[in-house]
Amino acid sequence: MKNRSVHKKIVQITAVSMILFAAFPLLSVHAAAMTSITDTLTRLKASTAANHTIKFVQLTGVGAGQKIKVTFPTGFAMGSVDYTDVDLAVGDSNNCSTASFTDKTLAAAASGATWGATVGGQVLTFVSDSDTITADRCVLIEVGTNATAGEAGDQQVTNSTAGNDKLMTLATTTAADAEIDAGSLALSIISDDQVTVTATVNATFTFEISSNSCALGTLSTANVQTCSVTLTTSTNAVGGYTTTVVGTATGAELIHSNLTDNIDNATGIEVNAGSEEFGIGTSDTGVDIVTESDCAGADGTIVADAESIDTIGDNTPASMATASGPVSSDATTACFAASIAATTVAGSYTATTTFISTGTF
Amino acid sequence: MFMKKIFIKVIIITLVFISLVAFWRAPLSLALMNSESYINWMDSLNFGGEETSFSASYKIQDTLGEIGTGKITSTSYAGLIGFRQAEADPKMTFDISKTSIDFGTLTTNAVSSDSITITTTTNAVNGYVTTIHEEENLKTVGGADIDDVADGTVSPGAEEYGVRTSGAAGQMNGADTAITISPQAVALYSSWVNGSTVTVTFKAAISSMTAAGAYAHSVTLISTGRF
Repeated sequence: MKNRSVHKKIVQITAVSMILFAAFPLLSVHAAAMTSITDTLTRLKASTAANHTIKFVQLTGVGAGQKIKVTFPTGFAMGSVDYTDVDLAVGDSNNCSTASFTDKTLAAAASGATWGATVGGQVLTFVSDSDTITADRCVLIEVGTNATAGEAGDQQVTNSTAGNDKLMTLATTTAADAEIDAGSLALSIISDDQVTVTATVNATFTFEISSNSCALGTLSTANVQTCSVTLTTSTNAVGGYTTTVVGTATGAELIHSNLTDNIDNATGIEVNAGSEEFGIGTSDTGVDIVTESDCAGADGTIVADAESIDTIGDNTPASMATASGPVSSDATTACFAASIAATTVAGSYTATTTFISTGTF
Repeated sequence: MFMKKIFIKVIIITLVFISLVAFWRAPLSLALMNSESYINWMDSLNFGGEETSFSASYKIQDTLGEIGTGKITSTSYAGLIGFRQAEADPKMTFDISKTSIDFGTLTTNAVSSDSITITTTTNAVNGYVTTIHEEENLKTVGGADIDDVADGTVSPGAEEYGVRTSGAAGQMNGADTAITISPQAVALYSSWVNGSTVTVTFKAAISSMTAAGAYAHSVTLISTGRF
């Protein structure tokens, strides 16, 4: 009878315990969890200095005398980071993407509204004196050269060796370091976070002279006769190209068929009717040869803009077309012009000129 | 007598069950289960709980039904027993399939392309974002550069350079996009994810006016967990 009573009590106690356990379970109370926690680095490469942009929403607020602590992952080198290399700012909402942030004033030690910011080991600690942070606001912490409020940051935190799940913890605490809000995030540090892109563009160059003959026709003392050829260059030379003209020898270029007489080279930058002159002009500008912008229009008139092919002397090539970068079908008109005097020897005259186009790669 | 034996057996079975639950929850709760399509960062057998209990002055996250929870440590081990203790540590892995793209010799009659894949795994509640940026354009030592694509498509015969993504988390899936100095999202996922892979295809084309030379630049990819 006694045993039955004991057994009954044991069963009752067990049943009551199980009912109580079910009805009043164990509760685990945590510090409030931070939300929207991110740390955006400028580099993820192992053992490389990087800036950190840390954001989180703290739910409880930070009161006077309280702290914000950021514990960097093991292996991250804090270097010489001090309060000048960090910024602390508070958003006007709990949306870290859209909030407008206002920087707090930082110094080595907290005083009044100025927060103290110190680094000890892996922990960056912000300490308030009298200033506070409103609850449920996004907090922004910048570490590195991105910390531009107040003194501009010039020191960065150096990443650890490569590895995943590098744990960073965040907390707001009381003055006595009791956690109020807490959160954490993980970083992945990799051997190389950059992709090197390379490509080659081969050099190209084409040069064309529209015709290898140019007939001035019958020269007269009453006007200037002209003819032209078109010089066309295409190239992807980064420095463009230059086309030069050169005659066959020093002295007169337009030679009589008797190989004795000639028509004099122009002495200035014009070929004038009634004067024995032969020269060349170009449609381009900024070159050695004078510009004749309308060669066809000058034909039959009393003057054309043209000068001696040997304008530099000593049969030195003279530039008459140029470009400073890659060009496609860059065309220049080479305008030959001649006139004669009453004493010019009758007969057939010929000049041979050479055009050279050169790319500057 | 028969009833007595029954009672004793019931009590023994109950106590054994409670003991097993109390002492074996830790390894169970820390188990990590995964497959090709998911990761269960931790599993826990309990029968209730809330994340949202709060008032103006407090917030409680509670779990119902666990026995013997808590943190235990010694010099050689540490145990986090129970769901709240064993809340999964933040996880973040990021991988770039290769770190060089060589277009070779560009021509005016074709678009040159090459791809990398970027893969992120994280248990961040809000997922992750991966950005891409450059310090300077794809250019020669002398400073000639290949223009950034501006019309959404890198086309043969036009001097254009950019990237396009593919994959569910890709953020440039619809257009060839210029790489800029300012970071741009190239991949984004809004929840925890196991092996989120995005293919980033680099494309380049030239015109007859593109300056000859050897072109190079580096682009940086940064993946950030949103916890």
